[in-house]
This record gives sequence, structure tokens and C-alpha cells, in this order.
Amino acid sequence: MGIKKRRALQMGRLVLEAESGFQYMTSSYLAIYNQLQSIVQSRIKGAITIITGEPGCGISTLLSHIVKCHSAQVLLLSGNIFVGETNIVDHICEDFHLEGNKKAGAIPAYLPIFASATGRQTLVIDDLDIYIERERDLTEVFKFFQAVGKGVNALSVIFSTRNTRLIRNFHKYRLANWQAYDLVDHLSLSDFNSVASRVWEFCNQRVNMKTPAPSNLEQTAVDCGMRLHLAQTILRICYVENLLRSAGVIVPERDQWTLKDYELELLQICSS
Amino acid sequence: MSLSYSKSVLPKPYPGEALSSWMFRVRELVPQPALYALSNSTFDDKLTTHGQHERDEKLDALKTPYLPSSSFTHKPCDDLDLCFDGEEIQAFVNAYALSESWLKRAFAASDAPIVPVAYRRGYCYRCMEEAIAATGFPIYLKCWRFLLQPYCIRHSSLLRDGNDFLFERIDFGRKLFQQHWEQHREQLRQERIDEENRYVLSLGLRVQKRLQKLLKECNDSGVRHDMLSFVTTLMRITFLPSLRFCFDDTKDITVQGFDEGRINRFNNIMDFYHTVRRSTSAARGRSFYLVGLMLDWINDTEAERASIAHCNFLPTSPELIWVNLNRSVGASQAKSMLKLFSTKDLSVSMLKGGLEC
Repeated sequence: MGIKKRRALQMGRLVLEAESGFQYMTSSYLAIYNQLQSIVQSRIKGAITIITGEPGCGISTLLSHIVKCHSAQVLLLSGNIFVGETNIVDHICEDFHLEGNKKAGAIPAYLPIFASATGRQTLVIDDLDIYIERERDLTEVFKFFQAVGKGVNALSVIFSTRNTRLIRNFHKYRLANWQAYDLVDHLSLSDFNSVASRVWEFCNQRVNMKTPAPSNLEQTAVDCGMRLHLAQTILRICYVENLLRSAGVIVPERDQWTLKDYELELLQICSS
Repeated sequence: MSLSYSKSVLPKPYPGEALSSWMFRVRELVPQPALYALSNSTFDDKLTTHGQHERDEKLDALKTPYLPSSSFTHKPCDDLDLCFDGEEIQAFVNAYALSESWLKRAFAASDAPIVPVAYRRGYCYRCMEEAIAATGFPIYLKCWRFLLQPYCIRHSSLLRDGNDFLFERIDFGRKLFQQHWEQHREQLRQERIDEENRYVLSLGLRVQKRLQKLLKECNDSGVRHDMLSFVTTLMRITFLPSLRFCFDDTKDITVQGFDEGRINRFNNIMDFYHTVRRSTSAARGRSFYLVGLMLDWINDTEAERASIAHCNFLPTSPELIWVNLNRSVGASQAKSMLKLFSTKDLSVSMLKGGLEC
């Protein structure tokens, strides 16, 4: 192909630093997305939904997708929610620009009315966590969920958490209208091939080239464990490796590095 | 470092919004400039312990600008709805780099008499609900401050009265909304009373509409002023002690203002002037009904039909009003004032039912 070393390094950097240019929805993602959409659209009173999954599996993307598509019906609570420092009801009130309640955990009468007046009755909490795992804070959260779950307040909650005690307690106190979804980002082989061709296309667009996708990506598929978020990173790395090698740049062996470190190392090479 | 803050970043004023309400919204949605300005203030370089403390206090005040000052009972509080020269408004204008003339244009009120800020209590819940749907905030409208508008024209309903002692808060609209639902039982009671009084209320509303129409048609500011004074005087008359029985079913006639203790020491004349300004929306709504009777804008048949079960002695003709008024203290002064403010459209000669001049 014969591109110059300097140009290849520049292009490598562009690819590695680029924001993800497309969103690939796995079947699990689509199924949960549809469920959440029906909760938001049908304004199911008192529905409490928990989304769990491994780090990087796309929970935040999923929730922001829901918020983006239904911004008029949904309130995304700002920042990471740490219960412990302030109580959960105060946090919600603050996001509605209302004052909190004096009684911890109790929902002030005006909160659900205000929420329904604004039309935003579904509260989305990304990464709910207990700051210090005190029993009192956990009880407070579940007191709130139970109050919402009764359905008299016309509110519903969709939240994600990595807090194992919260997840355990959710299942312990679970009522009929509480739902739990586990988001997995495992890909089938055909899914992987489809992701690979789209990543390649995206990288080509990014650097304005027409490099064809390599035919033997089996090792790459094994390396990423067929997981979507890892596949996207590894495929991008593969693209940059090919680019640099074709320009005669010496690329370190990938086996000796963790994926994150290898990506950083490549970025450093491209920036040098 | 200079601040340049584009007006387009700030939320647009809602139609009829009071300045205090807009200031509250701006601070909630765009809190940075004021905080930024303070954190970059000149004393930032050499902070003494005192300076640090002072700055922290100011920052706290801006983050929570909604706490009433502890000393308000001893000084007149700033009217953030309608007085644009106050210290706080000037600080706000500077912090957000606003044009003072634009602010006056956007939030100025008409020349109609207003309820002093210390007695503001009225609000229309349905207007508030509409504002929430449109902006996400329970907005406070300046028309709720107008003395001669106890009814919401848009929803044809009497304004509700909030609690006393909230008046000084910049987030007055938010407090009213919260309180409306915290004291929901009281609201339900009020709704029931309004339902029972619906005929009287509709007649009062008719009087307000007719008065507004007259004022709208009047182009001469002097005449307009006289007309406003004439109606205000008639309202003052309805609040004289000899007519208090007309308000038997009204829970509060006047707002329990911060200066209640002082007012009780006033003589009758002072009370005559002051009561209308501190009257509740419910009382002013009833007063409009009585004014309508006196001006013959409501006839006897209509008044008979509107009788209320819980207020057996509510007059249904102007004669019943004047028979109580003619001998009461303050009535003679009121009559002279009515003569003074008489105009072509509103004059003493129009008053029916035995006014003894």
C-alpha cells in the first residue's frame, strides 16, 4: 500500500481516539430495550426495574438511549447516585427543582403530582450505589421502592446498580411488579462478523481509506471472548496494527499486554 | 476575567411571569455565573480568615438564595417581583450580564394597585400546573399580585390563598405548589366551599371582568387612576367592621402579616386604608360581589339565586349594605372619597340603594 510512516501514525491515532461511530444492538440489548420502552410508554404505575450486567456491557448506553428517545416522559437523575450522603427522595426532588422531605425515605405528596404535571413519571437512575453500606441506607432505598411499587404515586423507576447487596435485597423484597433484567453482550459468530465489517468500515471512513477487512478474524473473536465491547476495541486495534505494519512501523506483541494497556501503548506509539 | 453571558442560554420568561420567579429559575438552571463571579472576586488572592468566611457565606447564599432573612420583621423587605432597584436584583443583573432596560420591559407591571409583597398569598393552581407542563417549574405570575384581580380570568376561578410567612422567599411559586399538596385536605375543603359558593363567585368574576373591560377602554391615565381608586374605595367600604358579617363563611379575611401586632394598634382610618391591601383573595372575591351589588352590576334576582347556606346574612340587595354602612365609623370619609374619584363611567350617582351623602 505504501503509506508514509508519519501519515500512518497520524491515522492510527485518529482511529484509536475516535468516539464509537455506531451502536450495535445485541439481541439481549434489543429485548431489554423493548421492555423498558413499553414501561415508559404505557406509564405503568409502580413498576420497578433493575438492570444488571458486567462492566462495559452497555447498561449506561441502554439507559441513555431510553432517556434520549423518551426525554419527555423520563427523568434521568443527574450524576451517580450515592445514597448515604443524601437520601434518595431528596436527590429526586432536587432533580425536579423541588425541596426534599423532612422525613427520610417518605415521598412528599407534591413529588408524584409534580412528576405527572411535567409528564416525566419514569425515573431513570444509572448506577445507584450505597455510599457506605449501612443497613439504614439500604432500608431507606427499599422503603422508597416499596412506596413507589404500591402504584398509588404514578411513578416508576428504572435503575442499574453494581452493588451486590442492593441486587440481593432487590430479589429478597421483590414484588409482583418488580422486574430484573441481566444485560449480556455476548455475540454469535454471525453477529461478530457483522460487527467486524462495521468497525472496519467506520475506521476506513475515519481515515479516508479503503482497506479491506481481513478474512481470518477467528483469533480476534477468541481474544474478545465474543463480547461486544471487547470486540469493538480489539477490532480497532487490529485495524491500527495492520495500518502501522504496512507502513513499516514495529508493533509490539499483543500477548504480553492487557487489552487496555496495549491500546494505550499503541496510542503512545502513534502520538510519538 | 470578564463574564459574557448570552441571554439565549437563560430560560425565556414565561408569559406573565414575575421577576422573582424567573430569577429563581435562572439560578436553578444556570447557577454558574454568580458563583463564578464570586469565586473570582478580587479578595480571592489574599484571603484572610474573615475574607474566606465572608466569601463562603456569599457562596452559600447564592447556592441557597431562598432562605428568608432572619431580621425581616424589622425592615421592609425587597419586592423582587416589581421593584427593579433592589440590591439583589442589581447583583443578579450584574452576575448574568443582563440589560436593565430589557429586564424592566419584560417584567414591568401595569399601573393597577398591587398587593404589597408582604401580603402576597394568592395563586391559581391550574395556571401553575400549565406552567409546570411548559417549563418544569411552578411559576409565580405577576397578575396574582394585582389587588383588583382576585379571580383568574383564564380559568374563571377564585385565586387560592397560600400560607402566611412564605412571601419573602424567591422560590415563592415552588413553596406554594409544595404547600398546596402538603395541605391537600385544606384545598379539598376550599374546593367544596367554592362549589357551594359558585353563584356568588361567578357574580364576583363578572364584576371583575366588567371592571377590566372599562379600564381597558379608558385611554386617559388620570381617569383610569380615578376609576381604580373609586373601585378600591368601594372595596375598602366592604371591609368596614359593620359589613364583616358578609364574610362569615370566609376563613381568613386578612393575611396575618408580619406587622400584625402594629396594625392592631392602628386607628380606624389607618385600618380602613390598610385592610384591603392585606385582604385574602377569598375576601376580595366576596368584596367584588358586594361592589357589584352597590354598582347595580348585579341585580336583586341574581343575588337572591346566589344565596349561600353558610352565610345567611349575605346581602342580596344594595339597600341591605347601605343600611349597615350609613351609620358606621369611616363611612362618611369613604363617601367623600367616592365623590372625589367619580368619573363618567364610575361615579357616586351610579351607586344604588340609599347612600346618604
